[in-house]
Amino acid sequence: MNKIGSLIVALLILATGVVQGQCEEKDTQEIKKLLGNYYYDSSRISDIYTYNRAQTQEFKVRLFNASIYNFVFDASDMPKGVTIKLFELGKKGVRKEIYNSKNDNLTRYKTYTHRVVNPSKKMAIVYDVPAGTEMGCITYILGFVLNPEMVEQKKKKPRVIINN
Amino acid sequence: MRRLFLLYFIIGSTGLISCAGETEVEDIDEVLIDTMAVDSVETVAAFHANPLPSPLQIAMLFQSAGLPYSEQVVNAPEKANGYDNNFKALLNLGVYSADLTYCVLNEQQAAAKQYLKPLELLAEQTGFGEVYHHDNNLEKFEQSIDDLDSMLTFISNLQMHADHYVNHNDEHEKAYIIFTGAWVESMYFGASLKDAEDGGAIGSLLEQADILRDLIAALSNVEDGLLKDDLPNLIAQLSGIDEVFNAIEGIDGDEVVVTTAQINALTERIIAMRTSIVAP
Repeated sequence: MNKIGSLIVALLILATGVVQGQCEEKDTQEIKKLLGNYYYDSSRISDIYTYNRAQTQEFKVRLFNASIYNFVFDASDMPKGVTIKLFELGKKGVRKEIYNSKNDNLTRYKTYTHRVVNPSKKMAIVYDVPAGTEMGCITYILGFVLNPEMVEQKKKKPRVIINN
Repeated sequence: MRRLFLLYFIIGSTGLISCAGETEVEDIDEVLIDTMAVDSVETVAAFHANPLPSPLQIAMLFQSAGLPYSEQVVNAPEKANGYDNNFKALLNLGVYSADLTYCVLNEQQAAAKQYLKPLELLAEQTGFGEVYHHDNNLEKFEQSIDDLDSMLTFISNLQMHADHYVNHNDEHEKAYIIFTGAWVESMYFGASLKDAEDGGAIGSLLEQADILRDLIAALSNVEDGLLKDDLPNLIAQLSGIDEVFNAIEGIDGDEVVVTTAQINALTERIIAMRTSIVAP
């Protein structure tokens, strides 16, 4: 990017009032502790910005119904006022809220956790950030174990019909 | 080191796009910040690819569907010396990771042990050596080789270390290539070993359709110049598999109706892709 371009971007950042959040990687030992008996699947750190308007951050995860999931949100650096929500995503864009951190309490590790059995194929993780929220971050960690009942059920009744 | 973000500022009618900071992967479907900004700035948005599932979970799902063990399907460990090209080395780092997991899940300890050296070699070649040397990982693996639970925990922890390394060093684009190798290898096991009449095994293959879409989206946004030359062919092969998935009735629904011809087409494309990946 040339100097003029850089200047324009710098001015825009100032003009829009966006300030990048701060977040350190979680130590792997710490992640293990937070996941408990679940195997590690994936994780994501989301920075929260100070901004003069409300924000919504969202990403999606694909899930398998033969697994049981442990959603862990490390809120130790999460600014006050931010809400974590989980939505099941159905056909034709139907969204069903299945978790809201406003209705939950922090664990002793300063996490919000939610266990999901027999999940829908796709879920959205949403962070609602009110205007003027201080900067910070949320670490999302997903753990899984196989669900023996569902594994057996799938063997007995596969969802696949094979046409010769 | 903390993660950096890419902010796109789409400015009025000029269409000028600038960025501050570094990029992760764009995924237009997944708008992260949905906010209207002031006057001249219309939209502020940041893009990430969706998190991909761990290869361990994919392997466990395939195994739970009843796939048998066969030493014929894994990639020979000694071939690791022939992957001089960095792109091939990344792909086969993923392939060997899947092979190791497959052996562990089937309690083939001696076979599993054979993959430690190739993994170490390719990890060092591609800059991921730290993941395997961290906390004496490889030594710990050898010590716990007779205990399935410990081995699975080891593989899970290895994924965690790998993700930590990727985040810390902003190596997400390489990680997508490694994941591709592991994913194709697991699909290859499924395609090669399935019973063509077994809806459970076929179902495990078909439920990977969504993951493939996310993977193609992630790879399509790779900007690393060193990887870009080899990407079009990789994406074309994955898109070929996606094409078969998309033609299957009800692929996104609760009940899937698939024809034998479609299963054969899927199998052929997976095997062809895997064959090209493991060729030196």
